[in-house]
Amino acid sequence: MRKTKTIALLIAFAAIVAYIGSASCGNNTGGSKTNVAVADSGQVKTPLSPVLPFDVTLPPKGTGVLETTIRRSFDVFSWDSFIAICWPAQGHGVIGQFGDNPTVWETWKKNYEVFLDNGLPPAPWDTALQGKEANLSQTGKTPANMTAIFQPFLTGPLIDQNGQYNRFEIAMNKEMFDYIDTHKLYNIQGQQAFTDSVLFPQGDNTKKTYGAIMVKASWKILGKGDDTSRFHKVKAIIHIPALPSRGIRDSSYEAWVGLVGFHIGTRTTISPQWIWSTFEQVDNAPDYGKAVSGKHYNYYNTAAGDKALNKAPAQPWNPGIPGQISSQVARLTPIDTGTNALNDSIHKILVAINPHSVWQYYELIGTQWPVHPTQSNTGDPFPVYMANATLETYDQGSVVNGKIVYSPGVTSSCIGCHNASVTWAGRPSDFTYLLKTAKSLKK
Amino acid sequence: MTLDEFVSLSAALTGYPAATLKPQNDPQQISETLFAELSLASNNIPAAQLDELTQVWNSISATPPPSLPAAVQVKIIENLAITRLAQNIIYLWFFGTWYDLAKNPNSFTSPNIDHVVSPLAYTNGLVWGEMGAHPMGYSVGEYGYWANIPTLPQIN
Repeated sequence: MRKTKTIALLIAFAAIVAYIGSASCGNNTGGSKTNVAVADSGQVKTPLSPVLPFDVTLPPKGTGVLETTIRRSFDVFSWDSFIAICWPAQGHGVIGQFGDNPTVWETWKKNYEVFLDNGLPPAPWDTALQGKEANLSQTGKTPANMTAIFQPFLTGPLIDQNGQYNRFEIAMNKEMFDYIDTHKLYNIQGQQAFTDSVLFPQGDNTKKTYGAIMVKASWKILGKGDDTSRFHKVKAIIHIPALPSRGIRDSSYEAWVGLVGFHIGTRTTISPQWIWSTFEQVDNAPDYGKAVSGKHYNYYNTAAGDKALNKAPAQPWNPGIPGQISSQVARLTPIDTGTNALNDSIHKILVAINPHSVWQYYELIGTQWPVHPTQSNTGDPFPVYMANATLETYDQGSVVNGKIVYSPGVTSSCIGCHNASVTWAGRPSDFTYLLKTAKSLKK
Repeated sequence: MTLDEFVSLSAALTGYPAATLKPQNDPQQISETLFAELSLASNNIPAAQLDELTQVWNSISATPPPSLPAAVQVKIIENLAITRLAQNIIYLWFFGTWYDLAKNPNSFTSPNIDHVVSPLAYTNGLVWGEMGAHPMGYSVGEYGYWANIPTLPQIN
């Protein structure tokens, strides 16, 4: 009986692999392994792989169609990347084998471990020491800082259905860290002395090299109404730095937080303006106008109506006050149908590993990349606009008379926004705002 | 008029290659957006005028490139029955704006008729590149571009 079940499971895997592979064909020169590799934990076989792709693997030149096959290639790259960096960090089994697992990316350097308050050089790369416990802190006192509680941009923090502020963190891989460390870009003086253009390493299928990767995670404090079996969760230090102008005292406490949003930015040869992949927990928010009555959403109350839809909370903001008015969030741009089909196929593989895998509750919202990288500095991104409901909550577009309106330069576009990033020397910083969080060296 | 006819006619009217106006794998789909204006009921385009413009274009579209501008000049620009519609197509590409066909193109009328087609049509207007500039409040230039001398496009 057990043998029959195992064979059936393997056949199911093979069918899913064939399905994904057929839709993501191309010159397999790269490191994209989701479709072909079989990871063997000694207990569970899966087509999913801990091996990161170097770069996207495109359809043969001239045959790809932007909205379907090319998008599919980038979406597969996104899922390959997500699976690889959410793989168990300590080598314990495969992703989700035991439901949840500490991840590879959580061992990467956090921004606050690289850009120190005193501007001194960061500690060497050591995954055993990094990411021991997430320190989710309001690191910036001005909304212009792209860190901490202000990620949903100029418009304010994101507050969940329990009245709790969302928390955010940023981490980078070794390639990105090494570039910053080698060129002494970890403090203001180092950046001002750096006269070359900032160009982070590019992932390359031919050279089989990895590029810079930065991830941005969005967390909710788990509480009433949250089904914790549907989240990747960690115990974190919730730190509220003092902000005297708002009467906020420095305080910290420990809490379980669930991953609700996740950006992966990867610089590659094919996409020097980076590939921008964004994921969400499936319970975050309904598509606009399609809320399911009575369903629990992380950021939408089905009884509240849409009067305050995607509007930032009123000032003054203070994350230390419990029970604040919740944000009312809906997704204005639905997930592409092809992307959704890929989500479904990956979810089936994850469920086959373990029906209780938390990773089945994460979906790819979209992938943005430069379609014509040399045409302009932004490279003609597609899709033109893309937003994560927890990270670009209030920049998704506007609803005017029931119609969704997008505005160039205002509505969220990863490449469009990051194109404006600079160093402390006032020069472009290669699509990352991280360098601007560096502090002055205090000797 | 089909989309392909619209793009090839637009290339002849604007001087930009069709592949520039409608690139392969076009994220912004400006050609589709502008083409939709020709079938927008509120634009009040006389069907006969649109048909005539299409027919005239098809009759000269195979003209060898060196002679094509002269053919466009004689058959379209100097043809009073369709020149105004042809002008509007030029305005669409350069300004992302539709003007009331029935009125003087230099006088703005009701915003219900004279209108910006879409935010993307406006920011992608060919006029910005012609000037070596960009629309107010929106640029894809690298940080600090304003300190550099503007560059103008090379158009054959």
